[in-house]
Amino acid sequence: MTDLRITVDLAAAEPPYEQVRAQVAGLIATGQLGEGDRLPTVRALAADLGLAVNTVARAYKELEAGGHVTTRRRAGTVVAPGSQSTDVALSRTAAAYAERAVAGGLSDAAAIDLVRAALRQARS
Amino acid sequence: MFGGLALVLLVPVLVALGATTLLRASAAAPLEGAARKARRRSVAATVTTGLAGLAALVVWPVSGSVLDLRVATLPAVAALVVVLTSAVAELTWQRPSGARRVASLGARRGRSPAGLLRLFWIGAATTAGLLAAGALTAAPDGRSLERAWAAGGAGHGPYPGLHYTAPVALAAAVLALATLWALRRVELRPSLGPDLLPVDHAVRRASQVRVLRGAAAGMLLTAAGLGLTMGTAIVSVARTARANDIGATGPGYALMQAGGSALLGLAAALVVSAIVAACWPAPRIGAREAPTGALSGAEVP
Repeated sequence: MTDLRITVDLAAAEPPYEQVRAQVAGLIATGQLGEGDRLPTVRALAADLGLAVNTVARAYKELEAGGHVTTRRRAGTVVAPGSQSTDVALSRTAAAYAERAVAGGLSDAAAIDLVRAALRQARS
Repeated sequence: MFGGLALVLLVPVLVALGATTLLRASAAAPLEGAARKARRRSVAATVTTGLAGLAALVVWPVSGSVLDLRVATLPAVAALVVVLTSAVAELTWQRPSGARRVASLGARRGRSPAGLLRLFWIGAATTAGLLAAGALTAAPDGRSLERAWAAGGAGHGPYPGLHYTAPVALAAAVLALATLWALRRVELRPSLGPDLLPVDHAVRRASQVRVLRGAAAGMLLTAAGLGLTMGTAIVSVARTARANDIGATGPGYALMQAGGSALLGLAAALVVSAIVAACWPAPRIGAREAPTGALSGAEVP
């Protein structure tokens, strides 16, 4: 596992636990976090980010509920098998979209709103 | 006697350790910004814990009555002061601040130095064993050793019976718990940030060494004091019995002589181990590859 980072913006509208969850899920989906990779303990990550332990615990709990990670007493929290995105092409498309959004000066919230709108349209 | 031994051995060790720490820090590779600040803080913590331990060694024996009990618990109490001071240094480390915070997903590095941790547990196990042996073999007064033979008996004190073992056991147990707690505080201290990982690993390991140096030395010296006291008492009782010709012969007597000598040898080995633990080298903070940058949790530009 290379030096992967999590950034939390306390001023953002998105709650910190969701920021942590989304970033970890993104790293797993793009294959940057592989099966069996161990995440920091809840307390260690909370200390490093200056967040409450419950905030990070909630993010981990939701990642576990989503099947991205598993938590065992001895092994800690590790990336679950089969949790990576199998659609590599889609990952590349998402990365390309993100690059264009950043280059175009779109805020994170605006870029995500566009994706949500597109998803709604595709499902309707 | 044991307090004097501890003072004679530990004071020069602590002074040498402080001087070595300062010399090593001044000779280390130059660092800038947050990395430099972290190294300076680590050195200050080492010097402060050394001075706190030194103060405890001097103050504890003379700060009240029951001198014998104070001397018996001196190594554990001084080590406890070192461990708690180290923990305070960890608890007061800079916390993340600012709206945007960054953390690495990499695992914490800088695991506790295995050799030093082993010395700590050896000291704890030996202390527990000697406390149990002392409590079981002491005379009913809990502070001396008495043995009777066909033609009379012999006795010697002090000996670690219940009078001594209860407070020493309490001090050693508190020291063990405080050490585990302090090591946990070191592990959970906020990282210096993803840009300073090599410095963070070195600082964290230096903190672990700081905690374990005091804890291992204190535990080993506690065991050494018990071994020395027991060995001296057993050898003295055996010699008195032989000198007074009270029928002390046979394998039991020989075993007693050998056991006493073995305990004295064990005490000497434990003192050497304690010196090794107290002088355990901490990693250099300021590796060439260590980059400089903002502290973790600080505002990200």
